Formats: sequence, C-alpha cells, structure tokens
Amino acid sequence: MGSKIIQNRIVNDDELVLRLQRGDEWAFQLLVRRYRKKIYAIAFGITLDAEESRDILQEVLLQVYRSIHRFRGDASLSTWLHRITVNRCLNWKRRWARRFKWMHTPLGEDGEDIGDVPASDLPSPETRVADLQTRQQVDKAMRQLPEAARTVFVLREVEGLSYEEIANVTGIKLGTVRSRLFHARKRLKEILQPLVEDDA
Amino acid sequence: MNTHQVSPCDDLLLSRYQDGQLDAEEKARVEGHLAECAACRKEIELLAFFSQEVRRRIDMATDEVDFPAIEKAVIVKALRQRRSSIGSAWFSALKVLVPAVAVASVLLFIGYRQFKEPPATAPSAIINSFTGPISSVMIFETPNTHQTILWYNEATDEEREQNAV
Ligand SMILES: [Zn+2]
Repeated sequence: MGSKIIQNRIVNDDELVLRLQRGDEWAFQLLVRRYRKKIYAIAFGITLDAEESRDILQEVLLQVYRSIHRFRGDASLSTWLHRITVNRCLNWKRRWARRFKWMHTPLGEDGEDIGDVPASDLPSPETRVADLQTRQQVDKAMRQLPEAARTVFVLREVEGLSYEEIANVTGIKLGTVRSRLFHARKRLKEILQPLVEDDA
Repeated sequence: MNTHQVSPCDDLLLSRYQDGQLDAEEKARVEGHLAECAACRKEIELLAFFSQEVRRRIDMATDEVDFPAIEKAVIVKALRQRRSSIGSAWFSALKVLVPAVAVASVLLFIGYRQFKEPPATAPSAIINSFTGPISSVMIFETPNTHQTILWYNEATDEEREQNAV
C-alpha cells in the first residue's frame, strides 16, 4: 500500500496516531501489523471462535480507521484498541449469538478438529492428541466462565495487562478486576483440577 | 492446612501474588506462608499451569490465522470507505428509513417462511436483527427444528452485564 518505505526506524504509537490522523496510508498498514495478533488473541480468548474473531479483528481495525481523527490521546493507543476490541466482543448481539451457538453446538462438533492442521508440518500423533485435548478442555472450561470474568482473565493472562490497565480498558473498578480474576481462577480450578488428577 | 503460627491460607492473596500485584510486605507474608504450606504451593503451581494452558490454546488459534489475507481485506475496505465517504452526506437521511425497512423485511421474512422448505441445516445463524429505541430484536434459526426465534433485549443490557459479578 503506497510507495513510501519506512526506513529502519521505529515509529512509536504517538507518531503512528499522528500519521494516521494525517491520512498516511502506510500508517494504517503499520497499525494493522502491530496490533492484529493482539486484537485477535483477545477476541479469540473471549469468543473462542475463529470465524467470529476474524470478523472482530476486521471490524476493530476499520473502526479505528474511521474514528482515528477523534482520538485525543486521553488513553494510550493500545488501551483504546483493547477497549474497542472488548466492546465488540461483548456487543449484545454477539453475546446472544454466542450463547445460542454454544447451546446448540457441543464441543468437538464445530468442525474444529485435528484435521485442520496442514499435513506438511504435522507434529507427532501424541502431540496432536494432547493439543486436541488441551483445546477441548480449555474451551469447555472457558465457556463456563461468565463473559465478564472471562474478559478480565484474558486481558490479564493473555495480554499481560496490569489490574489498572484492565480497569481502564473495561471501565470497571480496580477492586472488581481483582475479584473477577479471583473468581475466574477459582472456577477454572474447579473445572480443570479433576481432569489434571485423572491424568496423574 | 497449617497448625502452628504460620499465617492462614488466603486464595485471594495468592491470586494477586500470581499477578505481581502485592506490595513488599504482603509479598513477604505470602512467601513466608508458601515456605510452610504445601497446599498453597500446589495451588500456585496449578494456577500457573492453567494459565499456561489457556495461553497455549490461544497461541494455537492464533497460529492458524492467515493474517496477511485479513490485512489485505481490511486495507481494501478502508480505502473503499474513504473514497465513498465523500458523496455520502445524503446517506444519513436513510437512517430514518432503515428501522422501518428492517421491520418490514422481518415481517415479510416471517411470512415467507410459512411457504418455504426448511433450508439445509447450518449451525444456528442470525437471520436478521435490528435495534430500536425501546427494544431490539434478533432472529435465529435453530439447527434442528428450524424455528424462528425473536429475542427481545432492553437497551440497558450492556450495563447490566458490566455490573454483574
Ligand atoms: Zn496455605
């Protein structure tokens, strides 16, 4: 996109915002590359659905493109992006659709199985089985967390945000972040511990 | 868990310890407790293991994404938006019409379904939805019974979820 080549120079987020606001097309591509994986990881952690996460990633990036001129820098670019992503994931239509889908598609029936792995870089059969088990167990456990608890847990464990950053992104109080994380872990422990002990 | 002068087990403190959110004094207290309490050591280990499994799960999912393809699609859409945004002022007038059209098409659709063969089963799909000032409606198709379902949703749903738990 565009002919402008960025020299081997790190463009920090502040500059990136300025360039985006100025309408430099390469800046948008840079933004996409810098944040696509993070946005996707958060979306997947919350939705546990590849297709939905791809849609959310696209929507978030396009929303940023449309509304970057309104970005005033009250929060950092990354907090803003996280906030948009979480809002998209927790949008009521998506929540309802998810609840509905999970009610009707038990795990392992959503077409996501070990057959998805490209044949060229197949890990050993043992690893594949272990991976599939991890997937299903983790998905099952995560599905059982309330959306709000799952969101906070993902921001903490996947994105490594501090309690304060999580509070900024989600708009909840620090004490609520703390208690949601605690309850998420407690619940995950209740669900996953028996499985771990079965393996032993 | 412990019988002598060691501080009592405290799961909430352990959770914050794991997140590196304790001050020096609290941290010393937890570490003192961990030195004495095998149950809490095991707890910490388990919590760390679960977190690692969740991260691994999400890494697996991320590894399967064709990011360059998404990037391309997004950039194309962004540029198209930019070009079309200029002549779209009159488009905002349509905003008034959209809810009316949505209602009409939903009604038409429901009527239409009376005569239509049930389609091949895709997993539950949203067929249509629209948001109004008082309530919102979403229409689903169930995979087994092909029922059409209307969900009514109050505008405050978002906040309610935020305040829950
Ligand atoms: Zn203890």
